[in-house]
Formats: sequence, structure tokens, C-alpha cells
Amino acid sequence: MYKKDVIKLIAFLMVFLLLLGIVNMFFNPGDEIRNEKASFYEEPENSMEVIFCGSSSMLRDVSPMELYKNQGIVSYSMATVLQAPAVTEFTVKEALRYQNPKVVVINMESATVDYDYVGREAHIHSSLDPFRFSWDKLKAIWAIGKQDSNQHVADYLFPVVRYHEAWPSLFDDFSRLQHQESYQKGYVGMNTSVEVEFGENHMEYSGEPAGLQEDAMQHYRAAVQSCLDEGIQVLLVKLPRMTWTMEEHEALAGFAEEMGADYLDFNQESVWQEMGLDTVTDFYDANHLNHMGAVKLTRVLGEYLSENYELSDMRQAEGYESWEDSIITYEEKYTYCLNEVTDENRVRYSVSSSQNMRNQSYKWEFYKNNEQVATEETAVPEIDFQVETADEYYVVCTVIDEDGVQASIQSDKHIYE
Amino acid sequence: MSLISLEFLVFLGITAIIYFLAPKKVQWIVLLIANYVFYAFAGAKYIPFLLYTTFTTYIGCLWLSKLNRKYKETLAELKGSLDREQKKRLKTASIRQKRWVVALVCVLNFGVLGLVKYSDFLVDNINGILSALSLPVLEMTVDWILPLGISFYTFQAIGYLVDVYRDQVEAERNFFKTALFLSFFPQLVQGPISRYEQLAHQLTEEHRFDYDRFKKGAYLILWGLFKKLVIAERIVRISNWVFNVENQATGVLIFIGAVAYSIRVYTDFSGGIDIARGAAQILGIELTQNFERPYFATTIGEFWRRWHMSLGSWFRDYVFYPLSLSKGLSKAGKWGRKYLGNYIGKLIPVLTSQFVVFTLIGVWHGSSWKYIAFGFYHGIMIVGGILLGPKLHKIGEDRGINMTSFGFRVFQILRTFIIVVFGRIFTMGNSLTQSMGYYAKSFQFDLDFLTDGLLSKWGFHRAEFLLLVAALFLLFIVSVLQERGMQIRDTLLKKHMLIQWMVYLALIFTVIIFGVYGYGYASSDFIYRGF
Amino acid sequence: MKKLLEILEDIRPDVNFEEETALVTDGVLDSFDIVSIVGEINDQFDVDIYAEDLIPENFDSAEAMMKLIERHLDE
Repeated sequence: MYKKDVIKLIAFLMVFLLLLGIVNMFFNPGDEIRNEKASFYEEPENSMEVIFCGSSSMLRDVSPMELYKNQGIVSYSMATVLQAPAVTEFTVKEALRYQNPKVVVINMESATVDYDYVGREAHIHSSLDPFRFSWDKLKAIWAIGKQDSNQHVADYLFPVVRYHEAWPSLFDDFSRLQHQESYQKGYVGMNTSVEVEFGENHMEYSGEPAGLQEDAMQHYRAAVQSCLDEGIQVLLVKLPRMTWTMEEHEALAGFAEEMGADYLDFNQESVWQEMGLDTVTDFYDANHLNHMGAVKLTRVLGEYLSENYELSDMRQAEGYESWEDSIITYEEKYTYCLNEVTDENRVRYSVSSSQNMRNQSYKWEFYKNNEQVATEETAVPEIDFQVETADEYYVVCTVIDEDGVQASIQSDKHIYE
Repeated sequence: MSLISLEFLVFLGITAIIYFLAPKKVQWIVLLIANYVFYAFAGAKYIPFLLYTTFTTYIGCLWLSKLNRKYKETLAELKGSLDREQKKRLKTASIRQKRWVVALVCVLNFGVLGLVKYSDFLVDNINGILSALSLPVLEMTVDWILPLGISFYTFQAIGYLVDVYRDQVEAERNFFKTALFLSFFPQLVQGPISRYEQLAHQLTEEHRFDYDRFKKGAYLILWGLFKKLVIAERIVRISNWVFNVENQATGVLIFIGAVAYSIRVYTDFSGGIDIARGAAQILGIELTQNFERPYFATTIGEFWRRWHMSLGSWFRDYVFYPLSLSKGLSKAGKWGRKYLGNYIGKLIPVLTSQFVVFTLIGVWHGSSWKYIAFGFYHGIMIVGGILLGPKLHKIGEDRGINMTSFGFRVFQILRTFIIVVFGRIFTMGNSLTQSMGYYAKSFQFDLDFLTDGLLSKWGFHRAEFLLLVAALFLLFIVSVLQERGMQIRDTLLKKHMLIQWMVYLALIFTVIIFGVYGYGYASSDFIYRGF
Repeated sequence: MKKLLEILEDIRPDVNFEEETALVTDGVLDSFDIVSIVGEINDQFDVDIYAEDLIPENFDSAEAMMKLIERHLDE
């Protein structure tokens, strides 16, 4: 008598869990970065030779497609914005579950800066939600729960628990339900620039100790160790940023040596020269490059990787034909860049391009405090604009040629001082 | 832990499994342990309070039981040799002794309750008087902790005590079984307040797992979650907005806010009760009903027989009856009949004790003048109803109104609903003064509120508001069916398994998807939790 | 018994006390009725019916009430 009831109950629970899985799929949000991460699973297993991990600098500064174009190196980027150290450890392990790379490159973003688990809840979700469930993911969730008691395991295991308030817009866009092979391989670049300035003591001794964050370093240590345990080499990097002291550089170098990993600091003078980074056109902001900068950095990185690791050239190789096709879509996306240089209260916007810029006209729309205040058309890719302090501005530039609209770029919103 | 948390469901599940797998003889011990584990989660520091009440009640009941026995034995021994006068004196003596015991236990327990809940209120008011007389004020800033469920378990304990006093139940000789009766975890947070006769034996009896009963309990829990998370947590945005002085709501908006609040307090409270009763049902224990579609009441009196029923019947049996039949009020009644006429005189005991009962009910809700005013208001409405009832009835008859028609019944329901809604406004302000301000503002008529943007001011986009309306409609339909006597869960269990599955899955996913809970929303505790 | 029926009909003329047997259980009489009835009974029969006697069994029918009165008269 009991048996029949128990069977019925179990059957019901199974149906419930199945439906829950489907519902969760619908409630898992999608945006460009999330979709890029989810596309990691679309790559054939064990087809990558390099895996990139880290936070937003890694996401914006290193473009796997450039590596492929220049050296034929095949790689994927697991980086996300404001990634928590616990998540970085997870992404490294997750990458190793599906791929067997020769090198794993990690940018330890939170080594010297305390990570705010409470305030960054949304970003932790963006970093974790796209990836599949595994024991390592559960461990990462537990680590997060310990840092912020308001974030529950259920929130991460079942997206519907966290995002059910979005039910009105559930059927707006189905792209998040179907993932395809990516043409950017995890990279999402920026197409605007601002002028940046070096902070005090850049790559010099500041007199302040580096201050390594104990909790973050534990996760990085575990991440590095899991690579070394499988015979995979680790390259620790520090990507370009405007504030970086010699003490911090040495602290990371020391850590790399202690772990038996390699270390490449892009803030070093020699490397900087090699890249030829321009502080006017190549930076999205003080800590991130834009696409132009990423191209330069990835070129130098590719040379370094080729010299120091045994990597294959997969151009024209069998099974990698889709990469050739991806180049076209990739280059089309990143053709234009909107630059911005400020001089007192005059801002010069200009458009640069990786392709020929003939016979194009440019339409500029200026917004002040979210209302359009001016619009102009020019034949040259450049325009000046007067701004007042304390108001918020942004610009939308549309590039038009004989075939029609080619691209439309929107600058970030700025308040000028 | 909150009744609407995942933790509670897990706790319930684990408790149920252990409960049904345990040897039948120790089931009640498993339950006792579970009760105290639950209470510890709420706050281990509260446990001494619960034990204190349990202990004083246990001793008091044993003592009363001893006095009862002594009286009966003496009476049996001397039955033949006593006349009526002597028998009466014996009885009076016994009653007097028993009354001392009851008084002592009451003071010990209501004293503590009064201290933790009302001392701040008393001190504030005393200080108000003192400062008005330019006398130095009392300095009493003690941070009283409010043990979970103290208002509920204290009342349940005293009810049991008085039942023993009245020799209606036998005192429990086992201390742990007494503790079991006073700590049953589903009812700890917000009731219902149970009677010893109804609940105690169920807690110590053996229970076997029953799948149908389990399904009924699960369904009740789901329905409670639906009422609380989909309706109450949503509609509260309206009343919060209206009764936030910064928004300067006036006129009809205040009434709308009061209606929203009335719906909210009903779905919140009855939702929590459903979860409690469903949880108990899964364990095989039936807790008494606390709500019976109160807004379908045709008179205020009937409303209070359908709203918070366990509290109402507690006050009826332990305050109203004793008070209205007491010597004092009987004499007042006689005096009234002599000097004020038969009609009013007869009503004096009833009216006075009704007034006292409702004032106390107001006080029970919280330590603020606004709650006392709330109680007063209902007292006046009840008394008014009793006094004017027959006269209004006559007027109706003279005018040839058919008072048994459906239309008239609807009129009565709406009339009662409006009276209740209006009374809620007393509780909406932060203080009595603020509540009175809302009443004043409700008479300022202003139709500008009909401009669009009201929904977004309240915090809804169209889709969500429609959802709320749909949910309310579902609640209404279910309520009407229940009013007509339909036993929904029994009917459901007779249907084909797939239909049952669909209903359960629909409810579960409605709660998961449309419930207001989780990181996105910060859900409020049950309103009655702080009692 | 006749005296009792007079009292009852005076308080609730609309109820048939000769036939009803579930006056309290079915909610025919409410708490006010009970109190009024008890008040009158205490007065006219010279007994002392207290709150502890106010259980449904004692008031569900006129006969039950009569038995209650007789019990009190015996003491």
C-alpha cells in the first residue's frame, strides 16, 4: 500500500524537476557577455590550446581571434566583468573539464584589491549563470554564500528563484535559449576611447606594501595548482592599467615563482614600447583597453606565447574551418572606434577604423542629460563639441557610405569636470 | 525560521520523515524535540520564556486538579449529612482556593507578557502625564526581547489552565507532554490558539503516514504560499504608498489603500495559517480553523466569528462569558432593569463585557493607542449593532424590503466590509494621531488621482497589476465555492491523478514564478509574527 | 419546563425550541443569546450558572438546559 504511494510521489517529483529545468532555461538571462561564455560549450572538446581567465581586463584586452589571425593559435576567453576570485577558480577548473590546453593564462584582478561580494551580486551571477552545473560550481557558490549571507545556493542553482521577477519580459528575446559557436571566442571588445593618464608611481616604488588579499590568493592558488596538477603550464599576467606600483608587480612576480608559473607584466616599459599603446586612442578607460588596444596587446602576447610554448598553427587545419569564416564577422563588428579627447570644455570626437575610410559621411547626435540637443553631419570623421560642467553627455555617431548605414557607435556617458 | 522559507519546508520534510519512521511509542518525543529545535532556530534566548510558562502552567494545573479531587472526595464522603447551605459553602470555599491558583498563574504569565510587550507603552503614557504635571519622568530604557509567539502560547496555556479549573479536562501529569502541547511548532509563529481538548490528545497519539492526508496538507501549504507571496506581498505596495504621509493621499485613495490593506492582512495572516495547518496535517494533526472567509460576513458580529476565530472564541469562553455572568455585572443588569427599563437593563452585562472584550482585542494587537482605538471602534460597532439591530430590522420590514433576498445579503456583506475596512485605518498610522490624520484626509475629495502614472507610483507595471487582479479573482472564486460548502481538497483528491498533478504543478510554479520573494524583492515578515 | 420555554421564546421568538437539538452546535443561538438566557434562568430559577457550564452539550436543546437547571437545583 505504501509502495504504490511512494512510487507516485517519486514520479511526481521527477516530472516537477523536469519542468523546473525547462523553466530555469527560460529564466536564465542572456546578454552579449553571458552568451559568449555559454558558447564555450559549443566548441569541440579538447580543441583549444590556450585558455584565458580573469576579470574585465582579460575580457577586453585579449582577443583570441587576433591570436588565430596572427599565429594560428586557437584559444578561448572565460573572462567576465567584475569576476570574483571564487569564480575565477571555478572557470579555470571548468575549462579543464572540457579542454586540454597547453597553457592557461590568468589575470589575477583581485590580488591586491578587496572583492566586494555583497555589492557585486549581479556580476557574480553574470559570471556564473552561463556555466553548467558541476561540483566545482557548487563549491564556488558555497564560497560566495560565506561572503554574503543574502546570496543563497538556491539563487544560483535555480535561475528562476533569482530572476522570476522578470516574468513580464520572458518571451521578448529567445536568443539566450539557443547558443551557437562564437565568432569572438569569448572576447567582447569596446569600440570607444578616452584619453588616460598614468597614475603616480606607475611601475615605480611607492613605499606602500602590495597588500595581497588572503581570500583571493587562496582561490588563485587553487586555480593555478589545478592546472599544474594536470601538467598544464600557467602564465600569470598583469594587463595594462594606469595605477600599478613596483611593489605590486614584485608581489605577483614572487607569487608566480613560488607556484612555478610564468609571469608577464604588460605594464613594464619594454613591453609597453613593443605594443606601441597610445593613451589617447587605445584605452576604453584607465583599466581597460578598447579593441584597438586589444589588437596591439594580443599581437605582442601572441609572439610571447609562440616563443615560450609549443603551440600549433591551426590556420588551414582540418576541423577549424569555421574559424576562417568567423574572421569575417569578427572584423565587421570591430571596424570602427569612436575616440574622445577633452581639452578644457571642448571635446573632440573622432572615428578611427581598421579599414579604408573613403566616401563616408558621419552623422553625429549629441545628448545632454539624456535629451538630444544637437545633430550634425560631416564628411570628415571628426567633430568638436562644447560641454558644460556637471551635465551628463553622450554622442551617437553613425557611419554612412554609398551602401547605406555601416555602423552606429554610442559613446559612454560622461560628466565633465 | 520564517514559515515561508525554503528552510521551513526542508525542516518540515525532515521532521515528517523522522516522525513517521520512528517507533510509534516515541513519536511524541520526536515531535517535542522538533518543536524545540524550531524554537531554537528562532532564537535560543527565547526558550527560557517558553519553559517558564510551561512550568508555571504545569504546576498550576496539577494543583487545581488536586483541589478538584479534594472537593469531589469531600462531597462524596459527606453527601448524605449536608444540607443545601453547607454544600454551597463547601463549593464556594473550593472555588475560592482554585481562583487563587488561577490568579497566581495568570499574573505570573500575563505579567511577563505585559512586561515585554507593554511596559514601554505604559512608561511612555505615565511620562506623558508626569511631564504634563511638570514632574520628573521615569527613566526606563530596557530593551525587552519579544519571545516568538508569546501572545499565542500564553493564551493557549491560560486557556488550558481555566479548562482544568472548570474541571472540563484532566490536568496532564507528564511535564514533557505539557511542554509538547505548548510548543507545537506549526502554531508557534502566529497561532491558531488551540484548546487542550482539541489538540493535546492528537499530539500524543500515534500517527501513520497517509498519502491522501499528505497531499491535502501539501496543497494547503501551497495555497497559503499563493495567498502570501503572490497576493499579499504584491498588494501591500498599494497600502504602503497610500499610508506613507509623504505621498499625501486623500479621499478615495485612502479608501482604496484601506481596502488593499484589508486584503493584504487577510491573505497574509490566513496564508500563514494555511501553511501552519497544512504542515500539521502532514504530520497527522488537525489544527483548528482560524478564518472562514471573513469578508463574506453579513454583520460585524458575524465578522468576528469568521476572523481570527481562535482568538475570538478564546475571548468568548474565557473573558466574555465569565465577565457577563459575573456577580458584578449581573447586579448592574438588575439595577439597569429597574431604572433604565427592561430592554437596556438586560443588555448591560452583554454590552459592557463586549466593550471590554474588544478593547482587550485591540490591546492584544499592539502596544499603541491606535490599536486601543481600533478595539474601541469595533466595540462600538458591535454594541451599536446589538442596540440598533432590532430597530433597523423593523424599519426594513415596514418598507417591505425582502431581507432574505440575495440582493439584500450582498448589501449586508458590502456594508460590513466597508465598516471593517474603515476600522483598519486606525492601525495604518505610526501613531494614533497619524491615523486620525488619515481619517481627516479621507474626506478631502480629489479626483486628480485618476491620472495615469498611479500604477507606476504604486510600483506596478501593467502586466503585474493584471496578475494581481487575476490572483484576486481566483481567490474570490475559491472563496465563493467554499462558502457554498464545497470541500475543495476532497473534491480534488477524487479526480484523476493527472488532473491532480496539473493542479499541484500549476500552483507550485505560480508561487515560484509569480511569488514576491528572493533577492530581487525583500520580503516582509508575516505581520502577526511580532505577537 | 414551561417557564424555561417562556424565557427562551421571549429572547428568540424566531426559534423553535421544542424541536431544535443543536442550538449551539449549529450556531442558531449566538453568545449574546446564551448570556441573556443564562441571566434570565439565574434570576427566575434562583440558580448560579457560571461560565464553566457554558458548553454546547448543556445548551443544545431545551431539555439539556432543563437538566442543567435541575442539576443546579439539586446542589
